[in-house]
Amino acid sequence: MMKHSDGKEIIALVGQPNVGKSALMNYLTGIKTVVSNYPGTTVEVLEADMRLADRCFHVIDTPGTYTLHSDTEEQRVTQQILMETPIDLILNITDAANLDRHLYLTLQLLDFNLPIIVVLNQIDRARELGITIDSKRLSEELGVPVVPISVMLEEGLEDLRQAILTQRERGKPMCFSPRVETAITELRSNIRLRIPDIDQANMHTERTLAIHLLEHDQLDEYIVKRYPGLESVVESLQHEMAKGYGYPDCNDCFRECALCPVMEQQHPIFLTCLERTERARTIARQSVKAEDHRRNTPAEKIENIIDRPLAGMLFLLLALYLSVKGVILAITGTEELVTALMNPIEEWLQNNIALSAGGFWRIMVRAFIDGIVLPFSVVLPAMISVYIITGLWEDSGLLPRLSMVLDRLTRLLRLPGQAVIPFLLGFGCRAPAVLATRIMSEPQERFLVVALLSIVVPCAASLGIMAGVVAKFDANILAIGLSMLAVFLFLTYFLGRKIEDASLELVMEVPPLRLPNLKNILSKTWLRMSGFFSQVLPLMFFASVCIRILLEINVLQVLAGLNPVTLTLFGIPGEAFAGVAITVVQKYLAPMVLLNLPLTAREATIACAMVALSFPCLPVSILALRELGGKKFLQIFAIAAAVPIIVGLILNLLLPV
Amino acid sequence: MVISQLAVGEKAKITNISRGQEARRRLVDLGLIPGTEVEMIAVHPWGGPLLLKVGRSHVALGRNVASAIQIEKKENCKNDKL
Repeated sequence: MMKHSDGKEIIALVGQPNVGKSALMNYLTGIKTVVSNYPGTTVEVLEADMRLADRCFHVIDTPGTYTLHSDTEEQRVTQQILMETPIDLILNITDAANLDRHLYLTLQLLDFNLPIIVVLNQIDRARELGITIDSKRLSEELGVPVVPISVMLEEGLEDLRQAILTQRERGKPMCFSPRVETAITELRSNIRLRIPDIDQANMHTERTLAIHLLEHDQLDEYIVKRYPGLESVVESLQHEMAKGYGYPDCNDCFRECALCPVMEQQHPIFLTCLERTERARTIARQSVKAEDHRRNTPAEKIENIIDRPLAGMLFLLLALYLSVKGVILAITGTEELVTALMNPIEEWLQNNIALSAGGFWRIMVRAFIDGIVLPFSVVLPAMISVYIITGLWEDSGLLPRLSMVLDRLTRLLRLPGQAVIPFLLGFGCRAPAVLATRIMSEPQERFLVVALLSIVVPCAASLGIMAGVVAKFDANILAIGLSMLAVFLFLTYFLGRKIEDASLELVMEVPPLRLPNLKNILSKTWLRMSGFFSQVLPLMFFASVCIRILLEINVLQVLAGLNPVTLTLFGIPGEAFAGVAITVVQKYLAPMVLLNLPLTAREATIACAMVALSFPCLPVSILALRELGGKKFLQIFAIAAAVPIIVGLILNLLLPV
Repeated sequence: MVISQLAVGEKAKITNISRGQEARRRLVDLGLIPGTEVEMIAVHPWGGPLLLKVGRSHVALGRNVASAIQIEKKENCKNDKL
């Protein structure tokens, strides 16, 4: 599944989100990193090769995860990598300023019985906060090497390299209380009976598997299904543990505890989780010293202001405004530049080839203009600027604060606070907005926002030309506006039903504010841009060839012959209806078709509303296809086909003739 | 008493969490388990989320989740702050 790595030693970076994992990855391996999506997920896994003292290493940067309970996609992917890859060394990146919370993951990693180095990152910030860590003591307690570093200040990195070269001693799993250990031992012997090929099966080691089963997470569902006898053993062991812990009312339904009336009142956190947390805290208490009285650091002072509700909202809205402004500026700025550069080529092609040659060449020339010039003038600058700006939001720690501040507002629409960013960008150009939906983690939420962007949100270009249509024909702007609002609300309600309430509830870490590292942001942007030349560009060229062929064989004229049908159904002439279809190429081309037709005010109103609420344009379609996959994109496309027809029918019925 | 009843600046210790398994595990991820000390940093208006200090990190919680976390208030918290 992972890319292999002939004879290279494999290192896995594991750590919580916001701990500086990717910065360390960058530092160790340089810019040659490869992004890969783990099969069936949207989680990015970074991989790269590294040479150290004439030895070759293959480094895998696992997705940031708090624990290894496989409840979230990130956790599942990380766990899968740890189980399925022959790893030679784990680098566990922890936050020196928050050690007790990070040691939980460390203790879980020790269960894997692999060589491991605990890296105390951001040691500079810990110092600033008045925290000193006795890494020798910590290393004794954990039984593995501990290396304090600061990627930002490039401190301790030589020690880390040395440790990577020499450390091959396996970590020792943590010991639980006798009661838990008895349960683990019992379960292990059961596992050995039922899964004799456990070592070859590329799964957990016996002990890890036993602990996982006791904590019963989703990944284990399939193990339980495969070995039916295990489930009852696990259940009775869990029951024993819960009873011994002082929950005598537990009535053997431990697995269904979410539904159990007894457990709703007094449910123990799984004993293993609790003991692990306590152990992590004890270790941290023994090796970390924190000054009691100290002055706040400058970052903390700013945090204190921004984390007040009102001040925070004002500041973040201003930052949001500047970001959107920045993206739009980048697009309009480069669009002019690129068009100026491409214009001579375009004209030369038009004059020398398109005029003299036959149909095939005419198609290729037009396709070149739409399929090559457009990506460079709109999509490329949009992608670069959006990646840089979202990178700034991510790395500064402002993004989670934004979703916290806007949570109330967007929750009314059953959307997370982050959804505001793509919507605002969409009013500039919807292509970067589709990319910006990456900041939302739930696939269903992303689908909803991309659907709204593709169908309802008008981009600056189409908005401008539509205003022109409204002015020329004296169309009813209220009717157009209201239909857009109605479709927006209807789609949010209709598509948002599937979003679960639980996923809407905010439970989120708010990381400390940091000055973003420009190098890190640029390399992240570069990484994410890699798809542009290999995927976006060829796809757009191919799609515009197809559309040009359709135009060449006069499909649109055929539509124009549908006058009687369109007039009765929608009250608009056939050519205007053809305009709706043209939005597939470029949304602002459609209103341009309308401008050239002799329309009445009523016809213009209906046609304009239909055009405003129809297909996503070509760049948006291609990005949506790439981001969501074919099935979801087809769903959006189907909705986009239905909406203008319904809007046209309704408006034709409602508007006075 | 539950977390959502805590005023800004007040500290408390978590005693129990009465919530389904999934929410509980997300809380464990962020170190919110019985025995943990928390401090209220900010309460967003109109039923908005709460910002808590847990150890040295900050955690944002929706009101519904927050009302499922039972706490025991620390009385001398005002003095602690100085």
